Parts: sequence; structure tokens; C-alpha cells
Amino acid sequence: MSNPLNSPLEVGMRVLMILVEAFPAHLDINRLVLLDHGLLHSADLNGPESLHPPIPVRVGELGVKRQHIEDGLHVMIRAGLAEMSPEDSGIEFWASESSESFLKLLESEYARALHDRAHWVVEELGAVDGARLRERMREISSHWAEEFEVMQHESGNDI
Amino acid sequence: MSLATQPHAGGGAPELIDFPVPVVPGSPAPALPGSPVPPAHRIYFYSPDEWEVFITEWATGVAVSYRQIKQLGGSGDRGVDVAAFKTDRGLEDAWDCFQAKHYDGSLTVSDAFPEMLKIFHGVVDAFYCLPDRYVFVAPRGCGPTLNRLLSKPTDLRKKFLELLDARGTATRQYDEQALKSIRELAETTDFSIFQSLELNEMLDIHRKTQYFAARFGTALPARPPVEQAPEVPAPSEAIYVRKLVDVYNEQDPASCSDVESVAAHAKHGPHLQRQREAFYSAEALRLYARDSVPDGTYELLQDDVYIGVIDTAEANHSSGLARLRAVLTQSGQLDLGAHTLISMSNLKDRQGICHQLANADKLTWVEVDE
Repeated sequence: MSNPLNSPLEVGMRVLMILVEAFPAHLDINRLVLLDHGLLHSADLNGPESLHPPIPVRVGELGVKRQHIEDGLHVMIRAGLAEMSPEDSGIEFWASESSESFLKLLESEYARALHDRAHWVVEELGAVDGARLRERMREISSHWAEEFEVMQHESGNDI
Repeated sequence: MSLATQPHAGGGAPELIDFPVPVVPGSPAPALPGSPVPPAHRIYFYSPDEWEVFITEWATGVAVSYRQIKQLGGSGDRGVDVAAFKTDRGLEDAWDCFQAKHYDGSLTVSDAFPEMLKIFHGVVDAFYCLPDRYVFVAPRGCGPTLNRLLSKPTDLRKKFLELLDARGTATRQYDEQALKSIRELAETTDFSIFQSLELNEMLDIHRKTQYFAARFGTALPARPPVEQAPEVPAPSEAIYVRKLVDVYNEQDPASCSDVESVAAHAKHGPHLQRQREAFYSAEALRLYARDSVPDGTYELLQDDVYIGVIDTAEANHSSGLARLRAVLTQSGQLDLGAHTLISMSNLKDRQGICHQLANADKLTWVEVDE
């Protein structure tokens, strides 16, 4: 394990928290991408304080997140903590029966904070329909422009 | 192995068995270095045997809030069920049941269903009345499906009746008549009696027992302050005080004949007072050990002190006082680092242990023939 940050393990644990909160709902990867982004940048969605710093161009994370989440889910499925099956609407994922007691073993402050955010983001976005979900996605993506301006403004010169 | 539980052997009433007293390690348990493993993590990976021992320790903590506890049924290979009685009338009156079998995974509905059937069956057969609480205790807790059902008693009842009507494998060991009566009873039962006990709640109970520090390698709880030695020696002090009086009497026969005269003596009075304080300090340590470490731990420490000083005591000394001083000095130099209790004790306790040994007639300062 060279770098735990953004590794399949870290992302997998985060996604597992979302799945456990959403249990017994099954979620597809698109929704997980958005929920994970919302979990980390909850302040952008008018939620609790973000866990990750509001770096400029953070929306760019969405581009690579999909692959990360897929890798993370594979780790969790191998560990028997998550399950997947193909449905009409695509491949869906859900938390397995052993997931909840496993997550209860995590005692760090950060794990607790993640848990709070996961709870919040599932309440907020877990059950919205596809159209509304795309709208929220657009809302987040529209941060692009202002994030970019903030960056210019902070560096004090034109890029 | 099938997880379907057998109905009580021979179809008779469940047997109630006394809880075994948890085993005591035969040697001092050294605190091994290494990164600490939180208690919940350890339990998560317990083997069935370890789990069973843990349950017996935990039960001693449960017993505090009940009139009496018993094991329900035989001790199987997967843990035990604890019957906790709130009255003297046992199973005929208010009681709680803790279902503490060892399951390899998180509890699922299919694990819980046969157990629920069994408890209803016992009520239908009038072996006992329905418990006030039926609590699932498992090393890996309940799975999310069961957890959500347990938090919604109405849904749980619906699910139970569904499974009952489906006549799955779990129902096959009961005849139709019994199943019918179980169904009638279940329809009128408030399913909020079924609960689950989280690991941390379980640990809160275990933490109050004397086994916690030893099992999970945590620091021992703080020691209460030592009470003052009373003015007049208590009857329980008689033996070692008499031995001390013999020591002073040897030094100063004229003015040291009994406790009162020694206490008034300018030189030996303070000495006697110090010894008595040490004795009380050691007594306090003994009582503290009774509540915070497994039984026998303190005796192991006492034995070690005895082994450490007995040769010094048996050597030739010019007087009883010289022998007493040599033994007390020796007790302070012993390496007792292997004992968990030593982290909570001081030199006074060690000297006090010597007097406890004298009180038990294992050490004598003035030989009769000297």
C-alpha cells in the first residue's frame, strides 16, 4: 500500500458508508459518484462543513472519481462487505449483511465525521429521481466558473 | 453446521444451569507491549470458545442488576443463553433472556427466526412466561436487515408471521398444532421485546467487572484512598500486632509488654504505627484487587512476596527487630514487575503484605527459641 489517499481502500470505505446509510436501497455508480462528491464537499450543497478543503477546480475530481469508486467497490465486494448485481437500469450496488457491524468498529474522529456526512448526503440526495439528480449535478458543475475566478483572484495575476 | 436449534431435549422443560466461575490465569499476566487493540476489535474476531468465556465474565456484570442469573439450556458449542430473573420466582415471573450464541457473521433474519420460534414454543408449552426482553447478543452484531426490523416491532411481527406461514426448515420440528398456537401467541405479542445488544453496550457492562483490565489489557482503574488505621487495633489485626509487640518486648522488656504500652513508647510507638498503616494500605490493595482484577491475582502477588522474603526471614539475625527490618527492606527490593497490580501499589503496600503474611502465620519475627 504505497499511498492510502484516494486508494481503492479509502474510496471503498467511504462508498460503503454511503451504501450502509442508504440500505436497503440499491445504488448505481452514477449516483455513488455524486453522493461521494456531496459527502466530501457537503458545504457546496448547503450542507454541513466540508471534510475536504474547497480547492479550486474541485469539480475536476468528478472526472476521475468514477474509476476510483469502481476500484473501491471491487475491494469492498471482494471483502464481502458490498454486493452487486446487474439490473434493468444498469449495475447496482448495495451493502451486505456484514457491513454494518464492520463499520461500527471504526472509532476514529474522521470515521465519525464521514459517517455524519454520509448520513446527511443520503438524506439529501439518496432518493431523488434521475432528472433532479442531473440538475444537482449541473448545479455542482456550474461551480466551475466561479472556482476559476477565485483562483485568478487569489493568485493576483491573470493566468 | 445447521443453525436451526433443536427444541429442548426430550421436549421437556429447559434446564437451568448455574454459571461457571470464569477461569483464573495461573500466573501473573505480563502487560505485553504492542499497539493497543480496541476491545470491540478483539471481540469481533473471537472464536466460539473465547466468546463463551467472555459471556460468562460479562454475565457476572449482568448479574448485578438482576435477582439471579442462570444459563438456559446446556452450554452448546456456540455460546450460551443467559436467563436473568427479576424476581425469586425464576421463569414463572418477569425475566430477561440474552441470546448469546456465537455466530460467524452478523445476525440475519434466518438466524433469529428459529430462536424466536423456540421462545414462543416454550411459552406455548408453558415452560416459562414470555420474557420482558429477548436480547440478541452476537460478536458481530446484527446485520442491517435484522437491525431495521428490530427497530420496527410491527414489521418484525409481520415478517415473523410470513416466515411462519411459509413453513420453512425452521418450522419442521414443530407439529401443526404447536405452530398454530405459536401463531396465535405471536399475533398478540408486542415484538418490541426483541432487541439487540450492541458491542459497546456489552463492553460497558463488562467494564464494571473485575475481568475487564485483564482481558483487554487496559490500565487498571484508579485506586481509592487508603483509610486511616484505627487507634485501637481491630480483632483482625491481632496476630501480626502480637508478633510486633514480641519484637519490641525483646528490645525493651521493661516498658513494652502489650499494645498500649508500645503505643506510648517514644521510639517503638511510631514504628508500630507505621507498620499498622502499611498493613491497612495492603488491605486496601487487596479489596481493590477484588473489584478490578480476576480472583487470585492478589494472592499471586502475595505468594511472590513470600517467596522473595522467606529466605531472609529464615536466616540468622541478632534480634527479631533485625529480622523484621531485613525482611521489610528485602520486600522493597523485589522485582515484581510481572504483576499487573504492582503498577497500582507502592512500597508501603509491599511492607503491608509482609504483615499480612505474618497475620497468616507465614512469617514470624521473634522465634520462640531465640
